[in-house]
Amino acid sequence: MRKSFKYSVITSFLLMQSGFTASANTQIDELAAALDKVKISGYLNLTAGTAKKENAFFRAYDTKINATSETWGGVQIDFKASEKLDFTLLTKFFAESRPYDDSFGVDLAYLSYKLSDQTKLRGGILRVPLYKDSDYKDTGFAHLWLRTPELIYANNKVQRHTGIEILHDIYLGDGTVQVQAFYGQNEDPRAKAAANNNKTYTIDDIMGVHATYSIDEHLFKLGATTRTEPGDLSDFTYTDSQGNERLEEEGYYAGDRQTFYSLGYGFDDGLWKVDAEAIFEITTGGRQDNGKYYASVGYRFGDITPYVMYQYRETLDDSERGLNVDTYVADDEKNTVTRFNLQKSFQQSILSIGSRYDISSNLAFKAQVDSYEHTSTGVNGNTRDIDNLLYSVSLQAVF
Amino acid sequence: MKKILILASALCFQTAFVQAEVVVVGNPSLSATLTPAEVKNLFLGKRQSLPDGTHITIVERTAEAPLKSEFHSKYTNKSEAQLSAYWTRLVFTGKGKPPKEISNSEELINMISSNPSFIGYIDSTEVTDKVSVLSK
Repeated sequence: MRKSFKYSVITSFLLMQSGFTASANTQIDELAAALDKVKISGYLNLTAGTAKKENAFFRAYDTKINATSETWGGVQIDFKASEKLDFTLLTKFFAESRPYDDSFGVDLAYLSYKLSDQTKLRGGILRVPLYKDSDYKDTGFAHLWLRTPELIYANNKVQRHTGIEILHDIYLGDGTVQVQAFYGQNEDPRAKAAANNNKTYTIDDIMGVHATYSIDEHLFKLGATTRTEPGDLSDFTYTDSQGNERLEEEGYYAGDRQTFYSLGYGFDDGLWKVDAEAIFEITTGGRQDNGKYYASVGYRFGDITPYVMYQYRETLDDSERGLNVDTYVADDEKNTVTRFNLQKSFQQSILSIGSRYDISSNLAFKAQVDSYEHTSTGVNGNTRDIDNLLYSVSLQAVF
Repeated sequence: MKKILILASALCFQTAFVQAEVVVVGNPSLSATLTPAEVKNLFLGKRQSLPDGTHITIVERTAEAPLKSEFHSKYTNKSEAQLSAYWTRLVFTGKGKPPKEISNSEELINMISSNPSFIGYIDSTEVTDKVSVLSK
């Protein structure tokens, strides 16, 4: 909040008081000092898109124009409780109701305690910094692209955790290594929605260590995050209309440990902006391991920055799934063994071309075209190919 | 006469050049000389202290100040919109807070002279004995 605005508000308020006197100057100063402890920030993404074909792919875009799927915003309040202690609250709102953990309401709420200029402790509801840009992926204005790479950043079921973390800066010459280590837990609403009972499912061991080295125009990030999926296989079985026992998709994770390794790079010299990332999601059990990669480059012509990005996602452990492979074996009530099979493999890619136009220092207009291709192979060898084009525009602001 | 005119023109040009130079200043109690990389790290919030460990609070200029684009062109290579995007990332990850912004040099000099931890930037022609030049 700008100081002049604060003074205007306070002065207007006091002038309305019947007992306004010269001592109001003191009150103004005191109130201004109090308001200086509070900072309000926010962001808004207004996005519309439409696809060339009916076969909906990411974010359910089809041939109709959709302006709600990716329209959202957030308001953050930072309260400086003391020189070393801060409280941060981030609330989010969406134009479209969303299932699971991406819903309206409190997104983050945490205390930060500054141990020194280089070390900070945080506790509360915190973001999981899964990949290079995960902890601010929804803040469109901060990114060059219209949206963060979809195949990499979308659909990560754990966006936040309730726990603690430490941030520590290590100075190396002109460069800085920031180490971020965290531990916490989070309710798993997707598991709860898919389960055949009313239990609450909690992922109680979300933890990771990330290191970001920034020097001059370069940024390198290395990270590892792990968690154990809650529940047992039996929590997610159901019987279909033909009397066959089936497994909800969420169930394929049950009890397995997922580990996310990420290696990212960024370059920004004011003209060229380059980003690249490689991610490996390794899961115990039969659930697919994934490799996810992207690279993008943009060049600034004044306020206009055209860019191109390529994303690719693939399964890495295809030999572990097949018709005669017991990917999962579960005991049903009659103690018989049931076999479930997963999709054997898939490859997905998106080639994106777009441009960002900075209308002002806090408002940008972006346009992006995405060419999407998907090939999946079932355990019986059948393949399925999908392709589509998505056209999107977005107005993104911060304050 | 021609020589005098040429000399006068050259001096005027030089004066104009000197007026355009942006310098980083701090409280006279600070004796450090900062490299461009150190200035960049401080003004992008990557460091909060001088190389000798002295805690520093940076003071920015408002977007309207013409000196701001000159300073960032020289040290950080970022436009106003790029700076806004940069600080947005830090604010919403809780990893940094944008600096306090001051609109005019006089106010900045007064702040710096009364607080040994503040540093900012002004035009070199505005330097007084209330501040010391840390980088130019």
